[in-house]
Amino acid sequence: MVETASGGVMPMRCYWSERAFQGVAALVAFAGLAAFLFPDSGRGVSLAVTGAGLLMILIPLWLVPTCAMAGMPCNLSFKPGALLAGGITVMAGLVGVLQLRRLDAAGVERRVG
Amino acid sequence: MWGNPVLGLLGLALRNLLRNPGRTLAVLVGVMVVAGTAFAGGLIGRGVDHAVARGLDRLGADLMVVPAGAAGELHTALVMGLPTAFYMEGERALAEIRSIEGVKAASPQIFVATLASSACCTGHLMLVGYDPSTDFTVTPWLRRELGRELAPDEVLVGNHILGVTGDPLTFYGTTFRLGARLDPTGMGMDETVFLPQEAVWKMAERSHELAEQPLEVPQGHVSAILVALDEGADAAAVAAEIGRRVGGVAVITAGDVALSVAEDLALLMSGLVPVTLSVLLIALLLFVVLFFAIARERRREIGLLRAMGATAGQSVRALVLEATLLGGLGGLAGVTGGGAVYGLFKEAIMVSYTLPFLYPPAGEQALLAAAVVVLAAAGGALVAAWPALRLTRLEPHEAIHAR
Repeated sequence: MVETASGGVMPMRCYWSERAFQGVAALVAFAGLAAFLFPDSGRGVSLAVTGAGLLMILIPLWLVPTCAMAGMPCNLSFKPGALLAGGITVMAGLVGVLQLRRLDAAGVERRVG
Repeated sequence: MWGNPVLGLLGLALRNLLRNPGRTLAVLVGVMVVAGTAFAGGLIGRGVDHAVARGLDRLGADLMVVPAGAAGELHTALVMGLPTAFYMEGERALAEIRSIEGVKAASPQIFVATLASSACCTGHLMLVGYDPSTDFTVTPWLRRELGRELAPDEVLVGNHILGVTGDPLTFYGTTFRLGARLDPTGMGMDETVFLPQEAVWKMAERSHELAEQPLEVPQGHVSAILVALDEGADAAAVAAEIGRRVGGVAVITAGDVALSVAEDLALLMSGLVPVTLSVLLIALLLFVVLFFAIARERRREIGLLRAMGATAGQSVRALVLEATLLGGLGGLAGVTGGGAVYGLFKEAIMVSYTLPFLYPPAGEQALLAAAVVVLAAAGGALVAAWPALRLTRLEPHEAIHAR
């Protein structure tokens, strides 16, 4: 929080960066649930998860960037954590797309559970 | 497809590994974690050494004299750039120190911690006021790199301070211009702003009218006295003599700083080494289980090869090659992954353990990475050699009829 001249407090932009990240992370969790309940949508959902992972990376870097001071808590913990989580999400999404394409090509039927 | 026999053998080993991708992946992940931790650990060790060497070289002083009880704060300021301010009587101490045999030069510095800016993220900075007439740390750098002294309204900034040359920087209501930027050292100097002592006095005087909070630096006081020794002088003996002659001070040698950093590094490594060893043990177990299973699966196949005239060595070469390939690939993935994850969390790790860090030269990093990959591949080959040797001891007919 930043203290203003009048003594009030307002959140720094990393606060909004974290909020945006949480929103995308919730979307990824929802996508996982959707892929479980609607197996036929798996490939599309995986592709969407790949995009969401990219978004997770872009939020702290470009969309709602954290500040330039390397020693600030947001740059020490939130930003690297977001990049790592985003990278893993992108990879998981891509593996899902490729794996499901292979299964579809082999004609394997997918069922809930 | 595989015209070259070596490539053909490699292709065969790769196909064999892909026969059971889940099992291969489990071992690969195990090797990857070990290799990644080892690479990150090596990188930390070399990076800390590199930063300490570069930082102490830039500091240029053999001894630092500070008020008694301020040694800990100075260490944090030197290593992490955490702002600190403490003062002691300067003139008498300087005169005493200069009169000691073995002292080549002594120069005072004044430390000032800036006020936190109300604007987001400017943070606290440490200002260091040096005496241009006696200084031997900042001034030689300025003469060599900038070709001139700093103007009265200019400051020299550490590598991590934001802004470009000419940008305004306001401290205690006084606005300075960014005059030049130092190369990175990985130490606290990267977060420090250097300015002539005279500018600090003026800033303190004006702060009563211009700043939210006035800057109080007691007249005639200094924060630290940097001492350069004559060639061959005994640093410990001179430090003891300074302590004896100038009361109420602590004398820190460059060796003390390096030793203190080494202790912090040992603390980090004491956490890292057991984790690496535990994962190494798990990875070894996985490797042994996997290759015993593979050897068991291929007993008949190898028995047939032996019966057709292949030597014992030829018949198990593919098995050892598979292990080497798996170890090497795991090592490569570990070096890449470990390097990337360490790169992301480097600042947080270094801040948590109060350690300086500067990436070692690229050649050194490449050598470290290559060593980890080669060790992982060699480890894989060695582990697989055990079940392979057992296979070679079986008679061909015994292997063919084995269940």
